[in-house]
Amino acid sequence: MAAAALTRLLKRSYCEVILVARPEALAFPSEAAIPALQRFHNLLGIDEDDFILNTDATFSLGVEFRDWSRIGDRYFHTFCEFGGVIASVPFQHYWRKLRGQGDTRDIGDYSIATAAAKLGRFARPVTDSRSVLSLYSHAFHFDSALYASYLRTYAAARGARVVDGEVVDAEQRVEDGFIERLILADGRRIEADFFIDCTDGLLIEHVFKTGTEDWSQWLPCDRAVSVATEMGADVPICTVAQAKPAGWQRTVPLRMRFDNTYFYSSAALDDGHAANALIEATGGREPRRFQFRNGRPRQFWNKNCVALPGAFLEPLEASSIHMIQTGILKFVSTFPDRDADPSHADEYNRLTIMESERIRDFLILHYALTERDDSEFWNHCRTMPLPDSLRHKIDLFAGSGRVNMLDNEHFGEQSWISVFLGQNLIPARYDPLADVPDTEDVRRRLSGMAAAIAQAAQSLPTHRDYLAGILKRATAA
Amino acid sequence: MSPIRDIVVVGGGSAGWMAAALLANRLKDKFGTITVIESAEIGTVGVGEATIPALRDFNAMLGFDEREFMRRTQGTIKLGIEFVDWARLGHVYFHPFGLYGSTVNMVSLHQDWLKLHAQGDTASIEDYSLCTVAARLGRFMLPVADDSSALSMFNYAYHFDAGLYAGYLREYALARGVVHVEGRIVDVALRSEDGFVESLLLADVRRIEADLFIDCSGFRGLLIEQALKAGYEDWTQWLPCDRAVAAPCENAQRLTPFTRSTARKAGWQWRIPLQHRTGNGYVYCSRFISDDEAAATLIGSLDGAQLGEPRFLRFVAGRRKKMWSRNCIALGLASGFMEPLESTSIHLVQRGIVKLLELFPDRNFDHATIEEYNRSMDLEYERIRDFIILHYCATTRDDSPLWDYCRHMSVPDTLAYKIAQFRSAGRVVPYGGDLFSKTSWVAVFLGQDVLPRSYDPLVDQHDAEDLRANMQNMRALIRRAAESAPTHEAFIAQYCAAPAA
Repeated sequence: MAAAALTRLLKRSYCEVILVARPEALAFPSEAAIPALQRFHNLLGIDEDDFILNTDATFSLGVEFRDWSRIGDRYFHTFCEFGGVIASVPFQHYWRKLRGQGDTRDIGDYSIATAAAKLGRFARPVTDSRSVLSLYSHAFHFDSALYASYLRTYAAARGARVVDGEVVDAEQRVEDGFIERLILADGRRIEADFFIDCTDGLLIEHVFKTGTEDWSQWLPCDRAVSVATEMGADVPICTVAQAKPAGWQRTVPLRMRFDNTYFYSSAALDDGHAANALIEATGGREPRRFQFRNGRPRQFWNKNCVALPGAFLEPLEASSIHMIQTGILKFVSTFPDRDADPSHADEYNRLTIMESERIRDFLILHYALTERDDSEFWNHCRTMPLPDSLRHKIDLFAGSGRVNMLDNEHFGEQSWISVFLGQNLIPARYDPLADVPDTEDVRRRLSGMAAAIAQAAQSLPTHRDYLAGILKRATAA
Repeated sequence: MSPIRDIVVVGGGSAGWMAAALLANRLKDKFGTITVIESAEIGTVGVGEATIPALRDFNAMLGFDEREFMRRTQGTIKLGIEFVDWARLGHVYFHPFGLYGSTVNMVSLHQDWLKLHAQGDTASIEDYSLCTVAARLGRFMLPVADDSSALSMFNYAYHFDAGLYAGYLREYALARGVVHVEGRIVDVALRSEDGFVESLLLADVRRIEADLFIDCSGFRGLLIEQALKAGYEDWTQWLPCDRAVAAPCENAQRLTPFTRSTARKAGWQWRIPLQHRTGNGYVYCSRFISDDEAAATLIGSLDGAQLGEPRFLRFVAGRRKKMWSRNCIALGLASGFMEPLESTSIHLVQRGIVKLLELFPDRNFDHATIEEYNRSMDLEYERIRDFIILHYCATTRDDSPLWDYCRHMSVPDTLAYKIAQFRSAGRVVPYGGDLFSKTSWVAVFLGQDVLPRSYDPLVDQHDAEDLRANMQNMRALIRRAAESAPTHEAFIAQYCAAPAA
């Protein structure tokens, strides 16, 4: 992603981009993205259908969470607003008010994306803002290796020099420790003025010893095991994240297969049991294993090196790809010259630390709001002390149904509301100003919204048919 | 739910009536009575006669018609502020309400300008601001809706008579059921169990109870400070001015569509042209000048005949430690004071009311809600504080003790970082809660002679000759657009002339 974007944003006469790629990447086999990836593709001039066809991609309307708050519960976090603002008061307050009066409708009934996701139906949103079918955004699931190779081709075509090889070390300038050149396994040396570290910390940590801030006290999963299974008759339109006794299992629908990954805490479960549990649950074979630790480097940009995304955050909310994307754009907006004056790094780090902490808080929320007490893992999560920034957010929502947005929040109010309510945190009160409009009128408007949404969702094609349409158009062309 | 019933607003200056008007507009008749207690014995402080464009949003929330509002308040147009003698004696710059040109190459226009400037190009950054060019020509027209037109690329605010504005708001509020009580508050009764304000005792022994109190009583903070002891954070170390003297005069010169701020030996002087008169005042630091000398300086520099006796004000720059404490929210001068150098007084009242409506409590007064209000308002105050400090600290003036002090004072870390970032390569750090846009910061940085060591390296990606040609075209386009507008006087005369007094 970095090489592709830089070849797009930097003229070749201005600087050369060298991509040093390892033969086999350590990434998870599949990735889920959020709608912002569309902006990245637009910036690069990538055609969405072309991307879909080349990366085994499917569309995504969000994540379905199962068993998080209580076993048997499920909720959707989709890329879509709930209802609409009435008399300057956000929608959730009206929903909360009617619920207090005995209305049983789920907040998801006011979200077209949630309604469509429940039915496995999908089409790209329409542009006419009066239509219900314009009120959501779509994202993607794709095969990581195919996407990497797709962007590599893009970057190479735009002049990036691609070097196949494994970086094993780096040589540093004596006077200030800046990296001068990389050393590859076969002894080749690659020189550059600036380095972007997209490994698991080879330069930023192993060469620079930048140090990391560990977040595993709040996000205890540190292992993953993954198997592929066959795609069924229907292609789900959501990632599924199902809570398990020692972590959670992710199911990502790709066009040709499911990627199933169990993220777990090694303190709570050993690798063999985890693999067996996954195989038993999915019927997959040949498990692949991964190790990680939730946290961030103390500095994302150190000397003449930026780590992308730098922070590791488990893919519970599809944030990794987005952090890479925003990292690249921040890098371009703080672009250094050869001196790499530290003020560029200061600003990059300030912004990136904030961003990663906001995402961290959002992920922690899923664990913290559980009512589960069926394992040590969940007992820890239910009772752990939280970062102050998150504590305040939870208290504010619990007391008044309001969501405060901090600097550099990456997940918007609707996302927070989805998870708060999905995890059964029902606010004690609603906004008193929700009593200003006439209650019966509000009730009618809400019923009307829910009916229009249910009807519109039914009118969409199935995800499978929609994908088939794209495939058919491509073959015809 | 236990909804708020009655609300009392203490004080009837612009803050009090802005609050009453918007509360009446939004709460309708679904809550209890909104009462404004105003004492004729206590004068109001009308320092906020110049505004920023956000006031247009406030007026729109109330449904005000712009022409009527301007007619009723002797309103004129403000395209920005002209700063005279701030960076150094004899130097003038303009802080506009609008962008510098349009982005040519992915980087902000000021980055392109920095490159040309470094190469010796003599065009000023101000030549790329339609607001500035039009202001200097004394011209104005309403922005056009078509985004592709140069005449859509700017924003504007107003100068008006704050007393008349308060009266206009009062009429609006009273028509919507707000009750006006004339009287002086002699005691504030607190509930024994939790220290909440319970009732106010007036000099004529009336007792007024409410669930929610809005303290617009001015500097002294009758409820928030005197009764609730919220505490005050003093910012004098960065903003040493602590007095002002104000004196209106007759309009003599042309009606400028901008505020002028002239740095003086011990502070600065404002000039705000209204339709019927010009407001003037000298904000100064009492350590460095006497009241008499300040008044003499002011009177000696008026453009027209002085109207009335000079009025003196005292203040301490800073903010209330808790702007919302228990069941009391402080607005306006009761919540804090920053000198009107960037016309933010009325805006902070507006932000306070809007934030209160976003976080409107019920009688439980949820703790997290109060904390959220204070957190976000503190942030807004501090960002504005930093912006105002920048005008003082980035100076090379060494002609008086005030400027010697300001040149050397240490500034808040947030501002020091922002200055260091701009000095490095012209980057404007985006902080959350910052009222002032990138353009505003660029205008004041460059205006105060804070020049970056280098520009964004990515500017060099583009052909220098193309850049020069593009920039030249942009300047010409802006110049032509500004020249096509009528004069400010002509605009006022046909759009919103106030009836002759």
